[in-house]
Amino acid sequence: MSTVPIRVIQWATGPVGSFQLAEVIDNPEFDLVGLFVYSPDKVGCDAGALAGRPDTGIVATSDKAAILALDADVVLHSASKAYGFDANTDDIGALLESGKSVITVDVVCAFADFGIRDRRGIRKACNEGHARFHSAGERFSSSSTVRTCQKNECSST
Amino acid sequence: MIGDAFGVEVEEVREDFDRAVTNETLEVAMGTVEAGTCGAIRMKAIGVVDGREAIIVEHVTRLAHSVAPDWPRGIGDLSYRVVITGSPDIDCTLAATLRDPGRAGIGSMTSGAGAMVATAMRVVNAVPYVVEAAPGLLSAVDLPLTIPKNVFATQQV
Repeated sequence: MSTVPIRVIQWATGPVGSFQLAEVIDNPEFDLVGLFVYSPDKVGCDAGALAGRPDTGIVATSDKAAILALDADVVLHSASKAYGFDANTDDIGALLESGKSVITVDVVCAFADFGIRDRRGIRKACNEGHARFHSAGERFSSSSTVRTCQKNECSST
Repeated sequence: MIGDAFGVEVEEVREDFDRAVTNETLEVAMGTVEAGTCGAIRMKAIGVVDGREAIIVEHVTRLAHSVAPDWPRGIGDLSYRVVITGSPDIDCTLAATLRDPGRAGIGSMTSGAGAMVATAMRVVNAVPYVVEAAPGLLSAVDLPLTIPKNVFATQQV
C-alpha cells in the first residue's frame, strides 16, 4: 500500500454515500479532493457539513465537468438507481475516460440488463483512461462461494 | 461472476417471483397496508448449471414478521444468509445492524441502516486494492480480500 494518501472523489451523498464521505474524511489513508451531489440544496455545502464532520474546504458541486477536470485516483460512485441507469453508465464511462478509477454501489456487472455493449464501453473507457472499474454492488455481490443466498428484510416497527 | 469463479458455464438464468398476503392490516413507513393485500415479496435469480438450478440468489422482503411465516427468515429485521448444500452443508446468516443511525447521518432509517453502512464499507475498503490493481474491469473475485487499513484509527466504538 502506498503511504501517499489516495485522492478520492465522492459521488453522491445519500444514505450510503454520506457514510462513505465520513470515512474518507476520517481515514488518513484518503484525501478528499472533490464532491459531486445531485440535490440543489447540497450544492455549495462543505463536504464536512454533509457528513457530520468539521469543514474540509471541499465544497459540493453538481457540475459534472468540474468533477471530470479534477485530478483524483478514484471516484466512489454512490448514485441511486433512482437517478437513472443510463445516466449512471454514461457518468461512469466519462469518469473512467478521464483517468479516474470508479467503484460503484450499482450492481451493473451482476445483472443481465448490463449488456455486452455497456461492458465493452466500460472496458474501452478503462483502457483509454488507464483506469479500473469495480462494482461493489449493494446486493448479491458479496461472495464468490455462494450457492444459495437469501436476504431477509422487514421494514416495519 | 459466481459461475466464472467456479469455472462452470451458467447455461440459463431463470427468474422466480412470488407474493404473500398479509392477514392483518399493517402500519408501515410507507402507509397503511390493508389485510388481504400484498405483505411480502420473494424473488429469485437462478443460474442453471448442467441442467440443475445450482446458483440461486434470493431476496425476501416482508412488511412484518407475521407475513409469509413459511418463507426463509434470518436474524432480526434484516440479514444476509449464505447456504451451501454439499459436504459439509454450510448455513451462515449475517446481520448488519447499526446502534446509532443518527451518528451515521441516516437517523430516519430503521431496519435498512446497517445495510447502508455495510454497502458503504465494501466500497471504501476496496479503494486501496482497486487503485493498486491493473486497469480494467474488476469483480469481487478479481480482487484480494479487501481488508480495511486504519480501522483502529477511525473506529467509533
